[in-house]
Amino acid sequence: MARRRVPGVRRRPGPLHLLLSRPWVRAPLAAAGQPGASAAVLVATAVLGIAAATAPLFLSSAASGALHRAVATCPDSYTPGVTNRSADNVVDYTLSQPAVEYAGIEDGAVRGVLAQRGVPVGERVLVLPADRTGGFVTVAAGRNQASVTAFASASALSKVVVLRGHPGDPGLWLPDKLARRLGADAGDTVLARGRPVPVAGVYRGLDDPSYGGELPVAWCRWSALILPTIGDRAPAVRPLVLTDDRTLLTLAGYDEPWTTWSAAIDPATARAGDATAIAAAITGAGADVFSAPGVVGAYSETNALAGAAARALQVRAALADATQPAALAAVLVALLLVAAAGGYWAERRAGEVRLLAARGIGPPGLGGKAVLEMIGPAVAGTLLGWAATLAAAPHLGPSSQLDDGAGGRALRTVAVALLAGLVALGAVAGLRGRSTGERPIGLRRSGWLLVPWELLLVGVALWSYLRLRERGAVSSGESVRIDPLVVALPLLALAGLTVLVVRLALLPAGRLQALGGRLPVPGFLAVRRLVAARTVSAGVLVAVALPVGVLVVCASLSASVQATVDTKTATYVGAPVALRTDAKPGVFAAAGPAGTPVSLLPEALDTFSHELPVLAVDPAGFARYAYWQGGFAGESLPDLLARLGPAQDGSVPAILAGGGDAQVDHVLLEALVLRVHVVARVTTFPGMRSVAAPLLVVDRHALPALGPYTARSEEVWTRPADALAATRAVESAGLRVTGQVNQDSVVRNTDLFPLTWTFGYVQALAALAGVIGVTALLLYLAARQRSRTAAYALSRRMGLTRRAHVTSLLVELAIAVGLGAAAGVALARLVLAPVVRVLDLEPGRPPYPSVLVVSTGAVLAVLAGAVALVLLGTLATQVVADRVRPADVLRGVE
Amino acid sequence: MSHRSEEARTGIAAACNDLTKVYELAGTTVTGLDGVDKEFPAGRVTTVVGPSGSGKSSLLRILALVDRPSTGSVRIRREEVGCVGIRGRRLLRRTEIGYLFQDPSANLVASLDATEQLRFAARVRGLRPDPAEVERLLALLGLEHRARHLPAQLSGGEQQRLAVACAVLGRPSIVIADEPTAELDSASADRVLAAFADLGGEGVAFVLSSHDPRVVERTDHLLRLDRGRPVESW
Repeated sequence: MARRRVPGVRRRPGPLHLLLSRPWVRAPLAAAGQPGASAAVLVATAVLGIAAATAPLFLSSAASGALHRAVATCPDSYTPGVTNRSADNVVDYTLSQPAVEYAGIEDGAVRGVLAQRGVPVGERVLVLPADRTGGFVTVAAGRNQASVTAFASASALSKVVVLRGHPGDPGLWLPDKLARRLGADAGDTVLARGRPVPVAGVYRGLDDPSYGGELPVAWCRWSALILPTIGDRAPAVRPLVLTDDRTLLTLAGYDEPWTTWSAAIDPATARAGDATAIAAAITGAGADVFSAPGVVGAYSETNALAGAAARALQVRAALADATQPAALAAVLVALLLVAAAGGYWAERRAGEVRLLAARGIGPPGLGGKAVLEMIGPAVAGTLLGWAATLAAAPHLGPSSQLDDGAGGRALRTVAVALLAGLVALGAVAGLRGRSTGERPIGLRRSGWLLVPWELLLVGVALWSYLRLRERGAVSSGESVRIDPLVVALPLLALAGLTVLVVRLALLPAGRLQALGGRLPVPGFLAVRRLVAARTVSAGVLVAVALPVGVLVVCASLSASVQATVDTKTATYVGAPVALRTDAKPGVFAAAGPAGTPVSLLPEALDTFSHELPVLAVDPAGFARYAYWQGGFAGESLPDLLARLGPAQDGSVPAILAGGGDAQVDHVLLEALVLRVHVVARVTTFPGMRSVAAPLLVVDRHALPALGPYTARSEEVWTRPADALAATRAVESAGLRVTGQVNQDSVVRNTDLFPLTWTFGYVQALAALAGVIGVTALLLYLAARQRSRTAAYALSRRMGLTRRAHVTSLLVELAIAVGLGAAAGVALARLVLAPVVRVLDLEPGRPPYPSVLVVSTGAVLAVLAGAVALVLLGTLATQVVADRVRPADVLRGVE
Repeated sequence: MSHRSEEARTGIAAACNDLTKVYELAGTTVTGLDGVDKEFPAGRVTTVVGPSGSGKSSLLRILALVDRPSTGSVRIRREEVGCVGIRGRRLLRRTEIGYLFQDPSANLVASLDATEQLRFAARVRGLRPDPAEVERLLALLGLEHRARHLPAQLSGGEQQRLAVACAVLGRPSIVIADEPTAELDSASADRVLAAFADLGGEGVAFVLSSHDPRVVERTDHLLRLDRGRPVESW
């Protein structure tokens, strides 16, 4: 029927008319009189605040975390600074005035320039001679003498182990080996550059075995001064003698020491924003120092921090791409919760809402009233959520450092979310109010509700899956980038499938009702309540199933990513720790009982001149230290190793890893031909570096004498606790440990951390989704409390026992929560399989494909939460019902 | 406040013709109203009576523009309103219709005192509140000494009288009351019924549903329904 113009209306009351009337003007003060609705809105908006604030704070924390990871191997070398001309290590300048005098002018100029640029100045370091090839500093005690490098910085002594002497005393600090060689000790006087200088003390040399063959991180920036350089023409390393500025400058005479001024920033703990600002501010400072009065020579900046900070920002951008769909989804789910709180307001204010609706107030007026009444709790809740997230982010995020503006950015996001939340709250309150006053009896459900719109979500999820299969989930570039669809796919699939399953589950509601009629009283009541309010029951099922699904999917994705990273890196390293040595021709690593030696011949070729790296292992001890998983082969590692051994009939038994059915009967090692026969085929083997390159494993004792030019890597595989003993064993065999590789260092070097951070973030959101689910269920219970208590009071008069009522509540909640939780877990498992299949972080690294781990922790948490919810919900509902007096219910008193 | 013409004060405020209402509930067809014809004169009280399920509430919901008829027409003053859209119906409820619930307290905003209730009722109708009119109505219903009292401080009868005053404020065409005396004692019910009579002079048509014989005794017109059909009308 065509709608007609409204006849006979004398005056059209405008919206301003209403807003100026008392119920609306006084609405903001009404929150205090509605503790139930206020609490619901407070909690819902707090969740919204958390959901909206997490992304900006996480990204800020992640940027700093990425910076810290980038500089972790040697933070000091990333500290920006200004260095004098001697840093080029080429020209040795002679000053026109003593270094003691010039150093003051130079220091003042540098500090002035840096201060002008807003760069806080930290430590000054002096090194003499300026480079290894420059002038000499000779220290002599009696007839013993040594050429040394003098090093002066305020913090030097705090970074070494002082054996003798008092820090603060002027003079030279000798490393213990040098002190022994010179026969000098603390309190003695030695001749340095011909001048008598006191020995202030003795410290433990930085090449001491107690450092595990590695330079302490605090000294890594100065490794060129301390560690020997491999190469025939490299100058011999000189002992590092620590001293004070005055002594060093006096020794310098007219030579200019290598001088560097560092900005007062520690890249290992700095905020990404500060690092970026300081790196930018210091650019060009060297030229400014050069033009300062009294300064001679050239100065340049050392600014590796600029690159590290830029990389941190790239990581942040990559993380933003991946996490934004999840953050948006969390905000949308939280908005649903706020909207539900709007519905709860309409329920709690049913009397007034009905009156206003009867007087012709429409959804905008009712919704506006709801917003005005709840604006106080909404603002407070949102701020609470923001503050809680701000407080938690440093503890839960990748780094404890948040940029100065991060809180403000999060607050702006939260403010936008609050506005959206108020609109959602008002809309739902208004619509619920309209149905209270205007919904005709027996009105059929809208046809729009019958359309399975959720299939659209499932369709988009399917498209995402196909697209991910086509172009890959992870792309490598400056840093690992995750396709946002990887996060969007499970969320879309879960949302669509959850609604679809709930819709299908409620289709036979009529039959359920009939079935309920044959059940005992508690079952009958429970089924009756669920079926009578079919839409509400569907909402509850979705509200439980969706967060549970998201929780299980995210926790499992996180666990799967971590397990995959662990497995791949452990396979790559081969053992918990791999000690790399400076392999020398004819010398093989030995590990004693503290590890197992392995030789990797990376350039071996197979019959068809394809690369076929050979791993030569010691079958006796290999299984004790090597990383092994049952999935690598159909038999155990010791059984496999037992098949290796010396050559039989001139052919060496070998295990072929990752080569499929390829026929291999010999390998070419430079000019040598090694005949082999494959005794076992496995998919993966410890030490395998690439899926594309199979690995041939042989007994190292069966290797022939290799030529001097055969590329070979000698390693000792061990455990962290045995690393020191293994290092000593390597050194006693005449080799030197040049580095350690473990899982952490591989993860750090391969930049996999953005992936683990992404899913860690999504997992945190999943926990939030759990909170949303619980809150939604509590809202459901509270919203239906009034009708429940009235029904209970009336049923008691008809003979219903308290026990039967409690049982009916238990059954009702168990059905709603149990079905929801079970559906959530089942759908999560369904969605996980294809997502993990497309989510191989590094397909080139074995093993392949990714490891799928269903988080049992999350499933158990869901189970425990569901049981607790059912019990507590039943108890709370019954307690409230017990307080109601039947007479009040009959009189209609709320 | 607006002043109605003499015609509006004495003519037909609302009418329904050949009204039917069929509900489809749980797959079953239930006839709520079947061929109801009735005119509701301005300034008069019309009472709809009948046993439970006879269609009283259905008729009142349709007259209050909360529900729509299945067939037939509804006129407010002389205009057909059956086909008006939801916004138009809402606007009509604000300007042309007053509605009273059975529970007296459900007819008032809990946070407003008696004067404010009337001022708010005027604003909802799109009128500027007139203090003199508010005082006149309060005095007419014997509530002048309760002007600053909140609903919770009023008796049930006083609440219902105040609700009647709110409903007639702005002189809507029709005021519909669903068993307005059901929750009142006899003295209070008498005063509420007197209020309807007193306010009849405002030119408003009152349509009440009731089981109360006292209401029937005082009514100007009556419509008796049985299973949705009119069995007595005068």
